[in-house]
Amino acid sequence: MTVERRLQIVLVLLSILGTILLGLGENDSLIPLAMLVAAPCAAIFTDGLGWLRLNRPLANIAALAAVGYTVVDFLRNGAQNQLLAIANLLLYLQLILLFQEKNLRVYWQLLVLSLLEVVVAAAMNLSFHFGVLLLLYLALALIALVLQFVLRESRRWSSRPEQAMTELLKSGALRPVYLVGLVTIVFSLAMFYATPRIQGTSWVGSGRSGARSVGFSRNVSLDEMGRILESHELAMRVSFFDPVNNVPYLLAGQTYFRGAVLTRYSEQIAGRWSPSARRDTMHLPWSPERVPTLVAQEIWLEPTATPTLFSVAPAFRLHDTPQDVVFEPKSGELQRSYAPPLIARQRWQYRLATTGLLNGRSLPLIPDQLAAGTIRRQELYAEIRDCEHFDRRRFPQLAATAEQILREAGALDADRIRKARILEAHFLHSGIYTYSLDFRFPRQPGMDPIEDFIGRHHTGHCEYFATALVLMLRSQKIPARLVVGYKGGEYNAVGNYLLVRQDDAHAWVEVHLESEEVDLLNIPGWHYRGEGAWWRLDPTPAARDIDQTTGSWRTHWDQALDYAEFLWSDYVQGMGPERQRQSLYDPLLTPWREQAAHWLDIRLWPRRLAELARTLRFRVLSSPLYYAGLILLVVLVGWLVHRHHGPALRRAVWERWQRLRLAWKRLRPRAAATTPTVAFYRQFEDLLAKAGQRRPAHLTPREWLDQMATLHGSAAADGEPVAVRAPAGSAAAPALPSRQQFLGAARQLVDQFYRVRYSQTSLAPDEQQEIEQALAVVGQFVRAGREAGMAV
Amino acid sequence: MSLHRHVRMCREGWYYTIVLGFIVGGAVLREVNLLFVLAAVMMGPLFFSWRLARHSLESLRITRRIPRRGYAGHALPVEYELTNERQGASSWGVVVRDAPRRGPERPAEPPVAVFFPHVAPGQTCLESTSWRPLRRGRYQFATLTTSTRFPFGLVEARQERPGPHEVLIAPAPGRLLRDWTRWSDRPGDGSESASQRRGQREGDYYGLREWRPGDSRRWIHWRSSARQGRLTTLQFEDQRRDELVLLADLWIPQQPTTADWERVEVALSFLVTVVLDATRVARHALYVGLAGSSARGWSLTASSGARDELLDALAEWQPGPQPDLAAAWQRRSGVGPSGRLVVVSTRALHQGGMNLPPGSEASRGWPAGTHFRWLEVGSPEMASCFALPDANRAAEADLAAPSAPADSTTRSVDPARSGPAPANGGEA
Repeated sequence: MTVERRLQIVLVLLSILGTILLGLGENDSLIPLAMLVAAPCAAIFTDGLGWLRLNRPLANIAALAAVGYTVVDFLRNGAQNQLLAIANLLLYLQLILLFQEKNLRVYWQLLVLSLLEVVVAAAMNLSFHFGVLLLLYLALALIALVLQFVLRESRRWSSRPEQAMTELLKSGALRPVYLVGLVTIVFSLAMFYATPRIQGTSWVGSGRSGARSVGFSRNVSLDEMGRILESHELAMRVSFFDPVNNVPYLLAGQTYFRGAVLTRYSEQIAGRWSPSARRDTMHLPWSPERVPTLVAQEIWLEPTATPTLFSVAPAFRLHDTPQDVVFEPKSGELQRSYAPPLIARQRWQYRLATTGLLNGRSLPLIPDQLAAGTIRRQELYAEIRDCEHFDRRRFPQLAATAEQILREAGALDADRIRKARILEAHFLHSGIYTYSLDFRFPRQPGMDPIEDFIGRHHTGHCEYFATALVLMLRSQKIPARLVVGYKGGEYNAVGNYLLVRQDDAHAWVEVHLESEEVDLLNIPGWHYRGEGAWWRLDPTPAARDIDQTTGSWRTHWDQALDYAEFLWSDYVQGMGPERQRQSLYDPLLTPWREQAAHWLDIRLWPRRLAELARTLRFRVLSSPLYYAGLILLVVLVGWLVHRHHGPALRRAVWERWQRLRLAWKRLRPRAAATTPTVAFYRQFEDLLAKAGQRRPAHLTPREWLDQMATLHGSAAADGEPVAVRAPAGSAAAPALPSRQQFLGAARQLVDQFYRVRYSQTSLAPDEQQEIEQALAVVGQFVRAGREAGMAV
Repeated sequence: MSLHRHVRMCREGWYYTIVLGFIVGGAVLREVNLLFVLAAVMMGPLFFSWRLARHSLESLRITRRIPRRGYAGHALPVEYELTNERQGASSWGVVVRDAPRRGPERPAEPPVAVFFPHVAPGQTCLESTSWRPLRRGRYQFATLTTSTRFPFGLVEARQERPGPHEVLIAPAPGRLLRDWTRWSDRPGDGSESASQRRGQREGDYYGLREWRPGDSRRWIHWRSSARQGRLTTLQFEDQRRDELVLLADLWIPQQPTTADWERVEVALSFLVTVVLDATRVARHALYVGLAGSSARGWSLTASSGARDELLDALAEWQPGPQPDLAAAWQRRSGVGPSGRLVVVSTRALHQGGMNLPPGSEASRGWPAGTHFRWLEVGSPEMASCFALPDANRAAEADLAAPSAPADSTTRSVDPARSGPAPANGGEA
């Protein structure tokens, strides 16, 4: 396949990919489909077969028409659609170019148009898929650029362009692309994160689809008809971890994320709940110290239309909890104090602490904050009063049913805890009630939905069950309220977080208990002895546990994909100034700042220097890391020297080495081959060397001795070993040894050498003495010879 | 050898940068992270284009080989040898460019250039191309430029290294017509006896050269032909005493027009053609005298080195308003009785102000037996003797000639075996 054909194919793929990205941004599948058909057609019929080729005038007219249409479209639409008009123009121009006869100019224009499509798509698309497709686009674009380079340069400079192109490709001109692609990704990441976002609060952009928010509402209405469709849309991600060491905290059961607290069941509109009257908010209390069950929770809340925040209750403040997080002491409801429209459009992250988890499960109690002092007694009583409000005339059926249940259970006069448990068990275990989202059955007109639920159809969802229980409890003078939030979720083992979706929305009941009643419950792990609390009751049947099964590859894939999307939206899409500071600058700069402040303190210098010296002596020099670092440094310096002065250095080293070798050879000819290994014999040869006698390498010591004996007379070679001793007590100098004595001593040394060297025996003390004497004879003989100017 | 290195953005690179700037602007103004991601992704290739292009030109050694002499309008083979001295990195898409310059003129367009698709580490590649100088003169090959746009064509790295080399381009040789050949080959009056060969065979042995159609097959040297793979013939120096004295009267008015300059060039082309013909066929003893801004003369034989000297002089000879023909003549010792004297001039014979040799009113002053001819450029007589080369035919001739490849070729060369430059070539 020729280079040009390859380029055409790559450009077709790029065009398709560019329009797919554009289609993702526009939420329109027509554009990618059109290009998916048109681009291959152009490749086959225009580039391949040459059947359909727009000539230059026709192409110009078509381009002008496209521009004219786009201008009209542009002027007619608002800002968001103006971007769409530009995107469409890019598509039209690309289609026109695809059906033209190609040359280098057209190839380049196609590439630029495709790139501009991606630019427009980037301005409109916020999804994770964009990032994935962008990587693919990057690879294809780099290949297209290289192929264009090959085509252009070969045609321009080479007299045989086809041959030059083939040689370029065969020699691996595309090889650097892979490297550049990989390094570009790293480079891009570094650029992306290092470039400071100096303005604005968010760098999310508007996106084509505008603000998306989760469907949570603070108002509960029970008058819906038909079938309620559950939304699988993401509501939030929550991760739990130990606040001290950041180790993930594993959940064992379903967790309740408290949201809005509703106290008032509307008297005007049947089936409508609302919060109590205006409540004051305040900053969250700090998390208690030395509580073993303290767990940190980090929540990434999807854009929401209400200021309500969700968490496992009770929630406490951590050092990095945003100042915006406030709570209502009466209800314990968390809220966001300031939520401008721009902020509400994006995901929001906050960290809190909680003591509401024990062994991975939610505790059923929440302290009423009276003992903590965050709420005054009259405020609490006012809340409790609201929670006791019940109109028997509105709910006769419900009140009668509650009394009947308690009567049947023999608990009319029982304590509040028992009554509440019996009533909760009625909904859970009586078998009368059915959980359903399908309300396609006739309802009693004019009847309150709860009366209808209790008296007639017995079918409803969590809000029906919770409302019914709240009202039954209130009919028994037990203060109760409705809480709306989320329950459960799907655990993502890849990212160690809980994925809470819209279909995890739930409603449950909270009953106020006095401190004595709380003690009666005897909840393990409860740290608030002597305090009143709100007790959670969940009358909705068919609850399911957290799905932590991670067996199938599909589950793994989904979890990995969700985690990647989470990272994308958190670390790419939402990389604003604050996020950048938290994720990048603070971790990188804080240690340096601290160190700088530490080192700039002059008063600490003497002590620091002493520490440094001690560290160097005892820790650094004995640490393997020190030596590893040293080796690394040497290798690095070596590599740098080699890189910059490699050939010259090698030459210089080689020349020096050769010079040294020659000098060594001159000094010690054949030293390695003839060096004797026994000390006394080496001494013997050294003595003779001083007299200019060196044993040739081809002679053994004995042969050498024989040669010397031949030189000095054969008779002398048989001379008996002699010891030249000075007479005892004589101060006279010893007589000089004769030639025969020298040869005798030499033979004695050579014989002993053979014996010691090859029989591996050691010398006896008297033998050692004899050897020393023989050496003395040789030494004297040599000295005498040198003084006399004679050769030995 | 000092290198000038620089990296510049190509036109495509500028387009790329403009789009990049547009994206960065959009990202900053609209605060869109995805645009920022895209911008960062686009910066990577731009940065690595710069780095790789620059790196590709490191440790490259270039050698240029080009003949020292040539003729205007005729292609000269130019060879470039590129060695990659790096240990582990190839170089791709390297363009080597030369810009020969004639005096203060701008470099010729298009430049002399060769393309090396790939040079592996430690490898030496050879590329040859042809250069066709259009005008005579002294051409300077001053700077050798190496460039690459690898890998993306966005950024061009360029190295300029001094590679001084001079090429002397003689005037374009033309074609001698039948009228001239007949006249020059006609024996002189009563001089037949003087044209006897004095050497053996057709003259003294001079050397070997390639056999051309028309040469005698008798003198083909078969052993050399077999060794060289082409027919080679013995060349003999002609010992005949036929002499041709060629004087050039290169006159130009004080305020010359283009036509005047063209006449000078035609006269010089004629001279070159006659000189080449005379030395190639080796039939004449030739004396050439030039009179223009100065005056000088050369005696040529086939074996003398004066031909190259004359061609070099012709490459740069300048006409003058008062050419001194007498001075050009005085350097001549004399003309034999059978000699011919030709004056090629850019003006008519009897035009005023002409400084002819002393006593040469008309042809009376010339030595006895001399055949005199005045050839005025543009005259019918000149047109019957000489024709300028047709540019297309010259190109065809170049294509057909095996020694002057019109196409560039690449081949790998073992560095150890790559020999020295040709004897008449130069290196940079």
